[in-house]
Amino acid sequence: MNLFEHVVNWFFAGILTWFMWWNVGYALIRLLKETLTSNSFFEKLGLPIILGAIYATLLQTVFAFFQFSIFYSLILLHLFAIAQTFVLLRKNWTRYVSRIYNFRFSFVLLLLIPFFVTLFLFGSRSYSRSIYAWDAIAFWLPKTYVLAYDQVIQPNSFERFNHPEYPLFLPMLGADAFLITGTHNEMALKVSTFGFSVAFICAVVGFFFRTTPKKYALFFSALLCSLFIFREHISGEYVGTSDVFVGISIATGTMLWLEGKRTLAHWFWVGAPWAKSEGLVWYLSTAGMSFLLAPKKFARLIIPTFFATVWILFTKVVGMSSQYFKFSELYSRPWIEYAVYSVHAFREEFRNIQKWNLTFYIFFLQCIFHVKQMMSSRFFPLITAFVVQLVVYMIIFTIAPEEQATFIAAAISRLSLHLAPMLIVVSGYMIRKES
Amino acid sequence: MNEKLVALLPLLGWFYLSLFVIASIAFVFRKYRNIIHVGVLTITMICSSYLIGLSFFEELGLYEESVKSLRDTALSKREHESGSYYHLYHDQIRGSLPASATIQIQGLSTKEMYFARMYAYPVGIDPVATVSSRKGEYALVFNQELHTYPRTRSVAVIDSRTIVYFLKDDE
Repeated sequence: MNLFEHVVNWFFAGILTWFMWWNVGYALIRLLKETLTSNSFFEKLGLPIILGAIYATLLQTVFAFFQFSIFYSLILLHLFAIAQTFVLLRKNWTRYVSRIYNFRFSFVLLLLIPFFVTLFLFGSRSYSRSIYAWDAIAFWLPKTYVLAYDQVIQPNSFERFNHPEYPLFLPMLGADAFLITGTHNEMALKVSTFGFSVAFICAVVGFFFRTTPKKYALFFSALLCSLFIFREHISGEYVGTSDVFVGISIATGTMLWLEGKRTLAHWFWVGAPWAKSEGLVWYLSTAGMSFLLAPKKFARLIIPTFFATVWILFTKVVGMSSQYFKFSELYSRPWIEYAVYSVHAFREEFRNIQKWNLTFYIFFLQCIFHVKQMMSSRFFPLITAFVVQLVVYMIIFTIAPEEQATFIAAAISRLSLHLAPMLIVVSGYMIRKES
Repeated sequence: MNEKLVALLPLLGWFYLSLFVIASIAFVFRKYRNIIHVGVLTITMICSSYLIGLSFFEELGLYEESVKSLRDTALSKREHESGSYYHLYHDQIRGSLPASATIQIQGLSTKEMYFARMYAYPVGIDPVATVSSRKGEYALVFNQELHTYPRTRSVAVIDSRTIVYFLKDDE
């Protein structure tokens, strides 16, 4: 056992990195002249971390594209975080001290113990093994090594790995962890990515306990933490971590959307395409619905839409394309049979109790009893985006030049994971309305 | 027609059929919709809570396995997953070759190739069936095969293998 190494991992790649993300997220929210709707401590802790993780890496990628070293941009971001914390503490220290002084024990805190235990279990599972999963070794982790070595973006460096066109959110997080610990420490990388799992669970628990009665809050938060696929991936296997982040990004944006913070929701949804290309469908569907709902306010979405599409545009400009799927080589198929099989695959997935603990059943149940609400401007865009996302996945399953059954078996749970956290948020929020 | 309806039963399963039945009941007895909703939701939540409990205990069970290697160093955890690949490809091969080099290696499995091209970066890995004597390039060959490659320079010896450089005409 090397205590020093664990301290370095958890302090530098963990706490210090999460602290930097929080500051970047907080600064962005202030810059947008937005506020988080609540005074919930857990939401205020979790949501800026998620937003910060998205935009800190995006900023570093843009800098690295212009040949500015990742290491220096990381240092600058940390310096910014320290400076902002100093200013905040200087301005508000009496308020913070009085809050600590006036802290009153609440029964609700006891209800949170299982979530902290769950987080500990996820964290320990993740920390007990190095990275080994197939996709991680095939391209996520190699890109991390490339970024940590090159320090800048050279598109041809990624060509030797599968999926060079996948976005650099995770590799950039990994490269930051490597650089901040000074070694190729894959455990530091896992600690770093575990930060947004902690932040997400904090945000969701805070959201549910604020908006729904306690028993429902407890149930829906526990439901989220219990999903097999969520537990498996949130434990930091690295493969699927990008899928978890797509799900996290969609769910946190949805929380803000439901609370009427529509512009800020889109800034969170940028994280979906930035983590994995599939997330772009969600972003574009919701942006399209926002345009239809309020065409005059669409100017507010121009910048987040640019961020959401910037990586895809970049890959098109430099000619990066998948080495895995060659859509130009589509061959003759019985399309209808393939399409029917794709539909059946999702039908089977939704009713898989062992994986989803009735998540989809509860969602459909809520839809049945809230038909009018579903048609409201609050829920309808979300439901539409959900349907569009599903249809796109079915189309991909139908046209992908792969052996269909194998492809579906390998991918369907991860794709459902993009949507499941959002469905739990929506299902829980509907209960609030009737109570 | 009846046969087709019967065929739908296994296709939809209890999952969709029960949703259909609940929707029908809620539609027919609109007056009692709230009661039906609360009842159905409560039953579903109880079932789901049971499954959540199972998941939680499953996770607890996994902890017993996790704790065994929890305090190991990053290096030993990596060795557990990828053996000596990091040492071979990062420390030895990458350490011996210039960044722009590409090295031919025989008999790489797909898994080893993934690890190799990751750890050896920026050195390129060229998995080959048989090493070809391309001038100005590198190859990793077994020591006993060295004599079959006459115009080479030995760059580094790694256990039973040697990194060789195929000399150009003017070298």
